[in-house]
Amino acid sequence: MNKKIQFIICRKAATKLLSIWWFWILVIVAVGVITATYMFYSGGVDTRQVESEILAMKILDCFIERDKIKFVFNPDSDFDLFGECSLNPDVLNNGNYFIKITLSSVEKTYGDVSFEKNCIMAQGLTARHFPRCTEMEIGDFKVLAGSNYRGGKND
Amino acid sequence: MIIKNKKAEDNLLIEQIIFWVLNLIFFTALLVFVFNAGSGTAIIEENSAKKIGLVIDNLKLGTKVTLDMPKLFDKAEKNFYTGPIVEQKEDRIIVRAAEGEGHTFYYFPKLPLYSITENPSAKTITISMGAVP
Repeated sequence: MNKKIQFIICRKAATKLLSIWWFWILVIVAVGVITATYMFYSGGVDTRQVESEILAMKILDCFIERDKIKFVFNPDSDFDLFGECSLNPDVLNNGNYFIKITLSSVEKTYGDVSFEKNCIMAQGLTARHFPRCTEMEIGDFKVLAGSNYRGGKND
Repeated sequence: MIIKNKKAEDNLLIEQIIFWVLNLIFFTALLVFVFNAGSGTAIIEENSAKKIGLVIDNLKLGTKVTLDMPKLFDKAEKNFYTGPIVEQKEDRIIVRAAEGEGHTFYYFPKLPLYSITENPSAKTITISMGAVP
């Protein structure tokens, strides 16, 4: 057989063999890309950190006026945080939020109290389902606000 | 013999061209899929609901904010959706760009007298908190 023809036949066989492998490579690439895209977009937009910052800022704004604390805040006082700061208790007590207000040695917590420890734990490791918290302070006044709210379908 | 060789070479060339064209189609389709996945109705609804919800969380009494939302309005138009795009219910907002459940976002301020108005021609949403001066 002519050497040139033999070369072409061999190349043709190699091409066929290559095309089978190439087909499998394409399938693997397609499955990989589709899975990665689905995983990326199914994660949703995480607004928990921003929400906790807004909540902490709102409480700070509500409490401090011209560098002074507006309210009487002691263990015996019947302080209504939600009423004074125009916050919705139904939303903030639904298990997705946490607020801790500290003034000197007086401390008051609202919402899911487990968030405080979970937030500390989430700082050191990758914990997707743990809440995100923000701490702000001015002088003796300290606010810790946490959110684990992701939004969802209509209910 | 030379003619036969030429024919074989031509076939090989055509095969190569077909191979590369098919590859090109495959990777283009994959790219189109990835770009389209990011502009799905559910994703746009979620992004818009969270954006509006966070703006409401941040608003102070007596302020008015207008948000540009061209993607949301374009998606609703593409889906032939004519219902309310942004709906406010008690302490939450629901954003829809198609018939269905939409995306819900609860906001935490309890301030009265705010309104959410859509402007489809300008593709904007205006949120007013309290009495705007």
